[in-house]
Amino acid sequence: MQQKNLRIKAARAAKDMSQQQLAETVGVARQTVNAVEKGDYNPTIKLCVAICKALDKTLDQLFWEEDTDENQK
Amino acid sequence: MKTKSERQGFDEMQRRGRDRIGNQLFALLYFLLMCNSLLHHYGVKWLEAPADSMVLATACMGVYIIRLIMMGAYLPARVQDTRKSLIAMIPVFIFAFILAGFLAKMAGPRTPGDSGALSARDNSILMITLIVCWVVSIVVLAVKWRQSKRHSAEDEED
Repeated sequence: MQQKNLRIKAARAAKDMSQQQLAETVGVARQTVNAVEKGDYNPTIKLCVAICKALDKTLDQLFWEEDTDENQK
Repeated sequence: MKTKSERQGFDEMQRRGRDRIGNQLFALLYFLLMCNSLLHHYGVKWLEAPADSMVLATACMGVYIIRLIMMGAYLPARVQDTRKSLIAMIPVFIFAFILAGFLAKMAGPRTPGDSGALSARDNSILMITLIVCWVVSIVVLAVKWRQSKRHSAEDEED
């Protein structure tokens, strides 16, 4: 099981969007968005890009692994 | 060009789940049918043909539908989390029940051992299997709907 993706949740909260609203914008079920945020589902690049566009973020900001960033520092 | 699943509205997680569950249940059905044939070969007849195959197929189909409902992949994404999805399921179940009743009436009191005939006992077991699958499907669907409603409310509170 992957780690929770709290960055998506934070970005969604910043835009005042619910999981349902994000799911409708992206074109997936609410359970899918919930599973992505919890780390239970590994989305395809297509879905990642769609989520980034809906939340006005880049792929690095939402989906890049945090451990890698710490190693590079 | 969109695939049929994409046109039907299933998202990628739902499609992946449906494929995985479908593959598993297909393999399970094959395994059960082979075991059934083996039992028949050694003279163990738990049900007369074709009722035995029908029960196995119905049970596997029921498990397939129930697992899809539990995974949230039974209905397309665009109709998820709406009361209409639950209401839309009711005519399907009613039609399936009427169809099962029609099939049961067609079976009739024939001589057991006729090819294609169902005895009253075999028919009862088949009907019980059908009804159990339906009841469990409805219960799981209702539970999933309530869970989804609760999760949506909790999400709005965040």
